[in-house]
Amino acid sequence: MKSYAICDCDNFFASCERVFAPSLHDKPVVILSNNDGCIIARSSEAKALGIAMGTPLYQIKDFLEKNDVAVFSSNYTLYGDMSRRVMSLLSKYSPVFWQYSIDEMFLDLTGIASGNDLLSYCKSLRKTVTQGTGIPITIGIAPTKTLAKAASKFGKKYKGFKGVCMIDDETKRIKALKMLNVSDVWGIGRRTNKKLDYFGIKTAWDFTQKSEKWIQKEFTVTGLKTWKELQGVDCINVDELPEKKSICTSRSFADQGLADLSQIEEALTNFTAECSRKLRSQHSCCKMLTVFAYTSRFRDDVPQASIYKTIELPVPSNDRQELTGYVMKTLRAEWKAGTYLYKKAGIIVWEMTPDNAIQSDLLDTVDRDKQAALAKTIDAINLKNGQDAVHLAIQGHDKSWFLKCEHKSKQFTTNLKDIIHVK
Amino acid sequence: MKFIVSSTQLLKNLVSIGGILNTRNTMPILDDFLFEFSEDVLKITASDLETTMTTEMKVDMADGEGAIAIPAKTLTDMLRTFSDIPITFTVDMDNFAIDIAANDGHYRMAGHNGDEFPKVPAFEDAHSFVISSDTLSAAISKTLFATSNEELRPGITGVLFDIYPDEIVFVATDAHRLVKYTKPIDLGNERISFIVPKKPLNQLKTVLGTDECDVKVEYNKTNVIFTFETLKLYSRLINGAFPNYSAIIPQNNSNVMLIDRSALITTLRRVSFFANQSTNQVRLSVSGQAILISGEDREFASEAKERIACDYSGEDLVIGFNSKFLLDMLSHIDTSQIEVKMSVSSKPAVILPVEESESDEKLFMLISPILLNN
Repeated sequence: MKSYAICDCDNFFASCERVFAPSLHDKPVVILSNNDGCIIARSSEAKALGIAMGTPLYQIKDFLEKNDVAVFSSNYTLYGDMSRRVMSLLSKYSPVFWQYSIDEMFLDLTGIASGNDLLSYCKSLRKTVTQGTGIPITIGIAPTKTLAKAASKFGKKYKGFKGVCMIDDETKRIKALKMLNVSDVWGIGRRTNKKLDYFGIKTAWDFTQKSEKWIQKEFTVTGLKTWKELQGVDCINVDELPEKKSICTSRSFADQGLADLSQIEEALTNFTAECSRKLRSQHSCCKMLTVFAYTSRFRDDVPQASIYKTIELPVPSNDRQELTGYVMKTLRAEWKAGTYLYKKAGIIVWEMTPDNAIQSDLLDTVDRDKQAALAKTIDAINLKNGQDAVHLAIQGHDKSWFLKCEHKSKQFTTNLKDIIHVK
Repeated sequence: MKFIVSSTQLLKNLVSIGGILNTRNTMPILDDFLFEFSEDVLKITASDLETTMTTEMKVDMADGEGAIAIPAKTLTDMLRTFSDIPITFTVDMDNFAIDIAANDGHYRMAGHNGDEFPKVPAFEDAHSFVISSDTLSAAISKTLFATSNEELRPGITGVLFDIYPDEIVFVATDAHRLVKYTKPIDLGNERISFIVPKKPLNQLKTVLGTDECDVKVEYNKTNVIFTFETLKLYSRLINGAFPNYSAIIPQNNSNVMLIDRSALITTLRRVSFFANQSTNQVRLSVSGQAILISGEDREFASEAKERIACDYSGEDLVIGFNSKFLLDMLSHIDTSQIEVKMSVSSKPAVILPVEESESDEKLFMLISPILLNN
């Protein structure tokens, strides 16, 4: 029998902030979105205060002050580096592992231990990570990844598990499934849940009681895989998880917004670079590209304008320079004369094809071999010298359009100037 | 205006031009056939503004003259229900009411004023040549499938008629494949080229019958007219540039494979069932005197491999293609053997029929590969 463990950091963003502000332990902490707009992460104490996810900061500013809640702007550099530390510690515990998100990793623990030995192995793992990084984690162990995710949900919910919950026999599996809401099952999205609700399926147990034939008829292959995994049949491979069907990079601009074409150009070029980086990391190319920008719909005292234009690329691409060329051409063609304060802009890339199956074009003027070699070289330089060490001139340097973040913590682990001094 | 006409004769004429009609029109009168009548000749026209087609037929016991637009669908649907019988049309030119009498039946419908039907623009500075219907029909059949649907590149949504003094070249491409059909013909014309849209060519393909006849092709900068037998097809030309196709034809494809066409088609078809259904990607690995065709779809855990013998001279090569494109092209070749000329896996491959008989027409096909490793 297989044994998988999912290691999930508890309240990851809030925990990262607490590592460098020990006085905040046991105190409520919230993290704000870009531009300090709304709340995107909360510590368990903040959750207990009833602060909802996505609440705009201005609405509860007084409440936060009154309850002595620590407020942070998001500091992705810090979170990224803390994540790297956690993951590198976790990876020492199994030769086979997959990082699933910024704060989650799957470990294949098959053959390493079983029963209580496995439980104590994971407890020592949990202790090492918490001691080494200051980030608390919860571990779910089960014969399939979907069941492991369910186990970690229970591990978080019930203090009695002390952060490690294991589903390793039939009785535990059935008990867990009966207690698990179907919408909390890994792989069941909002739309699937709606459908399940229609059929009267409330718990994960109800779902597993349906026949394979019925699942096949009503759901996609992903639904069937989830059904099998809940039965204890290991069939989801994290490497083969569906690639994203579209990638969007967009930002709201602080204060009034941006009115200059050159500023929007700079912002969109950086978003394009981000999209192309994401495309390359999932080995995809896009065939369609959408450029958008609009003024604030809450400001009826200023002129309103919007840009929304989709273009089809002759050959699917993930090349930064090529995509930037298309974006600039589109933006300049769609730009409206006059003074408009654009509050938000972004890029969506979609119609993905894998980068090893690109239909070439007879009329293509680009030497794709050379282009791929150049992109590979630039990626290698940037990996060694920092993101955007080599970048397009139009991407700019000052990032004047960039985010507002008044409550941001320092980059304690990645910037020499920010390192903590021990007195 | 009154005339008597055979129901089957009329239906045959209507069907031959009816393909031009659009199902949805911005101008209601374009849902109609235009009937123009003078002496004992009935001229029927169908149009979608871009393409207009006319046919002429003789009618019996004619009386009066004029033009009336008759709703096409009702008329054709009604005629289909008759066996061959004489039908009498009586048109009241004051209120455009049409009375149709057939056997014991009496039918009445409202037409429209024929003068409001869009007129074909005057045809100035025209040049012309004559081509056999067989050649034109073959050229259209062999090239039309490779035209593009991409509105962003209008130039390649039709077939290029590239005319030289001693030959005519028909070219179509959708940027993934290119087909060129050449026929030596003494046209004596100056060097000229124009792009004819897909729709009129499709219509021409249907009406160019098995009996060979001469087709007169008249053209100027904006329009073209094909005239044969009693039919006349006017079409607006595509106002866009056709890519310089000679420049994309590779000259140094030195890896040459001779292979049986039907064996390749059946193998490709089989393998493609197991290939990824969205990319249709198949891999051709050529080495020695055999070619290994493989396809896979990881998501559904399906894969296929099949080897076929070929006569190959060149370096070992692995090249990917869209099986749909490849099959489409192979099915438009008539010979039993074909020659495939390749260079490297990222460059287009040439496909040529190996002629068994002395034919003076030449078919050339080019397909761009799927880049296996980007």
